[in-house]
Amino acid sequence: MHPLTTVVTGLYNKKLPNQNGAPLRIFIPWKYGFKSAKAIVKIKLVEKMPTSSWMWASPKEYGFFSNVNPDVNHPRWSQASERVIGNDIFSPRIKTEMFNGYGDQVADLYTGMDLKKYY
Amino acid sequence: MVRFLKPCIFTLSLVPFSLIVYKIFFNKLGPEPVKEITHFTGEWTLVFICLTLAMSPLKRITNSTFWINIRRMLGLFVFFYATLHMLTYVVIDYRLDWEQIINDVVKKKYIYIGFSAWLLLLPLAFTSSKKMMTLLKQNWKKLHRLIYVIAIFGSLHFIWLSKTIFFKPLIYTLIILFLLSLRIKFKKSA
Repeated sequence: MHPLTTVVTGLYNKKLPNQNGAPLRIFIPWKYGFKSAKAIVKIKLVEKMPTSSWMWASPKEYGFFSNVNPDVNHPRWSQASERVIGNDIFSPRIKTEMFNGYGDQVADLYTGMDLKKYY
Repeated sequence: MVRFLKPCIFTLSLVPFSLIVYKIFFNKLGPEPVKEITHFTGEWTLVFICLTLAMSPLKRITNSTFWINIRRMLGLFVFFYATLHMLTYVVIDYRLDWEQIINDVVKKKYIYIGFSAWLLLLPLAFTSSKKMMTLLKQNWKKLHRLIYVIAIFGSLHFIWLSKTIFFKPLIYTLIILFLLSLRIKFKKSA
């Protein structure tokens, strides 16, 4: 597992509540804000790339890799900028960074891959 | 009766606006306030579109012109909430970042159709006065049939921006289609 990845078991010093993905949630910071797993309930080792729930729900819009990538437009909106959650209405949007700004640490995981194709 | 009810309906129509202003000032919009304002004003625009479209069928059913007396006001509230909705997007969310906004309007079909709907509302709002009505004569009625197109654009805007759950947009679409269907005159076969 990449050292930036965290398996979450709790929230604010308490046991992880169901609505936040109990029993285990995986937190992958360079994918956060795109589509992420909500909870880990089972781990299966499979031969072929599986269909994730968002690929299944809306195959035109979501791919398997779910990396944050400002250069790949979502069919419904641009992904070049974002609003920071928790900010008030007077705060501006910020530019979305490739891999949420963790490019230095994680870009090598995807070397040779066309991330516009594998989004 | 109309004299009394009209101001009442006017005040009631301002309730959603007051509510959102209150929520903005008292910080009651949660972690994504801009999203909340956008959704709120957008949905109320659709509600007022439905209300406006319901007036002439109600006139026919009840045989009362009361509905026509308040129709213009409801129509102008469509324009009011649609403009707030548009301004939330342009001014609060994108802070007049024209490059991104134009890019969105051109490339994203739901924004394109939403913006078209707002543009189509402009001539209706400008010709809403009694003076304009007499000036345009029969053309006024023709021009104001644009609201049918606007209503369809509005419901498409809601459908196209939705993720995978279409329940709410479909409800609005069905209501709008129902209200529009009441206007189709079936010719009796000879």
